[in-house]
Order: sequence, then C-alpha cells, then structure tokens
Amino acid sequence: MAGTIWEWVAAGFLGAVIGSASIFTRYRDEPDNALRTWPALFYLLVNALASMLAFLVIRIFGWNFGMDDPLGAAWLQVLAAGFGAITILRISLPFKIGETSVSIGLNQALEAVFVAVDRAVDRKRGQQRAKVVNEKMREVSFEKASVALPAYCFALLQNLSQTDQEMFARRVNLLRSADLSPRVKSYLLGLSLLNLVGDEILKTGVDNLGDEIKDLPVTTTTTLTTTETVSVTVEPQPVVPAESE
Amino acid sequence: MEQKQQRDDFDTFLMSVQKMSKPQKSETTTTRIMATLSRIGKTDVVKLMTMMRISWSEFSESVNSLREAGLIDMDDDDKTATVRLTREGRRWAVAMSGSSDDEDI
Repeated sequence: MAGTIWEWVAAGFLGAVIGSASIFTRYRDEPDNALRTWPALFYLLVNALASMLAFLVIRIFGWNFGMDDPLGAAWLQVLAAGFGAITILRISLPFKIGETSVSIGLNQALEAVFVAVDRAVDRKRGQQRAKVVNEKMREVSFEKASVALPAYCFALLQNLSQTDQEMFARRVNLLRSADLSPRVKSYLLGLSLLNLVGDEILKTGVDNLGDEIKDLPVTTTTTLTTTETVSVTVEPQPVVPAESE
Repeated sequence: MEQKQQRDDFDTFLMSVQKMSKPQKSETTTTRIMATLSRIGKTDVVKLMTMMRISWSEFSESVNSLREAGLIDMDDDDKTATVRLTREGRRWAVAMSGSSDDEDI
C-alpha cells in the first residue's frame, strides 16, 4: 500500500504541475510573476497535497485500473491521482437550505485563493503596468487606435484565439459607447491590450504605428516645398537664312 | 464549435468590430454598473438592478454586453443569480474611478 517515495513525489509533482496550468491560463501576460507570489505557491501546494491524498485513496482501495504489472499499475495510479485530484478540487455540490440553494465544495475555497493571487499579482505589477500604459498611451488617440492597434498587436502575437479576439472586439465596442473621456478610453484600451499581449508587444505596436494612431497637436504651419534648381543650358544655334523659293 | 478553437492573426477581431453596430450615443449604464460592483463586490442581480434604477431591458442589455466582454461574471442557478467583476473588470473599474479625479491611471 505504501508505494515508493518516488511515486509519492511524482503524484505531488503532477498535481502541482496540473495546478500551475490554471495559473498559466489565468495570468497569461505574467505567469512568472503570478507563480512567484505566496498565494500561488499555496495554491500549488494544495494541488500537490490533493494529488497525494488521491494517490493514498487509490492505494488503499488497491485500484489497479486493469494492469497486472505492479510497476505499470503504480505509475497509472500516480497519473490517476494527479488528474483525479484536480477534478475533485473543482467539484461543487448544490445543497438546499430552506429556500436557498447553496453550493458547497472545494471550488469555492480555490476561488478565494485565486482572488488572493489576483491581488498579490496586481500589487506586484500594478505600478509597473500603470507606468507602461501611461507612457505609451499618453499621446494615442482612441479613435485612431481602437482598431489598428489591437489588430497590429494580434498580428504580432499570431496565436490569439478567436474567442479572445471576439471578446476584445466587444471591449472596444463598449469603450466606444462609454461615457468616458478619450484619454481614459485610450488608457483602458492600452490596459486591456497589455493584459492580453504583454508590455513588449504593446510597446512595439505603439512605436511602430507611430503617428498613425497619435493625437497630433494642431498647428498652423506653412508647407515648405523644396526648391529644385533646374539649369537649362541654351546653346546658341547658328542662324540659318530662310531659303528663298 | 471547432471553429472557435481555431486561431488567426487578427481576422476575427476585425470582423467582430465591423459586425458590431456603431454606437449612436454615449451611454453610462455599463460604467455605472462597473463602478457599483467595484464598490459593493459580488452581489445579487436583482439587488444591483434596483440600485441602478433603470429599466430591465437596459440593465439586461448592459449586463450582457459586460459579460460578453469578459468584464463581469455571473453565477446563476434556479433561484438566484449573482454578479461580480472579473479581474479585468476590477482593473477597468480602478482605472475609471481614478479618471474622475485626474485623467491618469
């Protein structure tokens, strides 16, 4: 029943790896920052422990999943524990207490951990994010950039799903109709793009599109054209007397 | 369904933007809903609507557009429906509230 130390470590590690996938999916623009917060590490620990607990249960009941080879069965148990734990952690059972329905499960606890990760990441990245958006979007015109900038950034990124693109289009549409100043709309556009594509792509997009998406100051300038000097050499032609009929 | 999983560079974004009707007038309901949710956190949909004091159709339309934009989440079962800001929604709300004082984030 005990299993080797490596099986236990593998079960815990697999649980943590599968748990980290949630972190990567949720914090696509900053997975490394998210993983380096205490709540995220706690979340991985919970996943690892759940996986090890599932492994214990599987060993106690001796589920071999139809494998006769003990070594093969043991590693199949590790796999089942890793993937099974993540399912158990996300199950939420509805109960009725009087007239109200209440969902009870570990899912709620995990959501609370995610909220804590959100706050930790936002605290960590908040100032940096505000600085990038402020710096890059200050002169950007929302009207000019609302379609061009996202399209350019998505083209640079190349792997954004259609669902994300549709969702972003809805955000742009919301911003178009929102009763906000153009400056705030630009900031929100930049903020949303930053979260989706990361700061490097946003910076590159704004820099490359340049004046095409910027609010250029209105100035009255006289258009100066370059004057080209065209030298025409007229060579004296010999005067030919008109032939008389 | 399969098509949803496909990826392209930016075609879907452009087509979606073009498909959406161009807003005729500026509206404040969505920003008010976000500001209220930012202040009170997760809340019952009916309670939120009574706080907004707007027609059901306008409220429903705004909530739907916010949900489709991934700015709010809704949990509903047979009896109750609750609504709350997503992570992105919280960031928007913070940026918008900051903008009322000065226009910097």
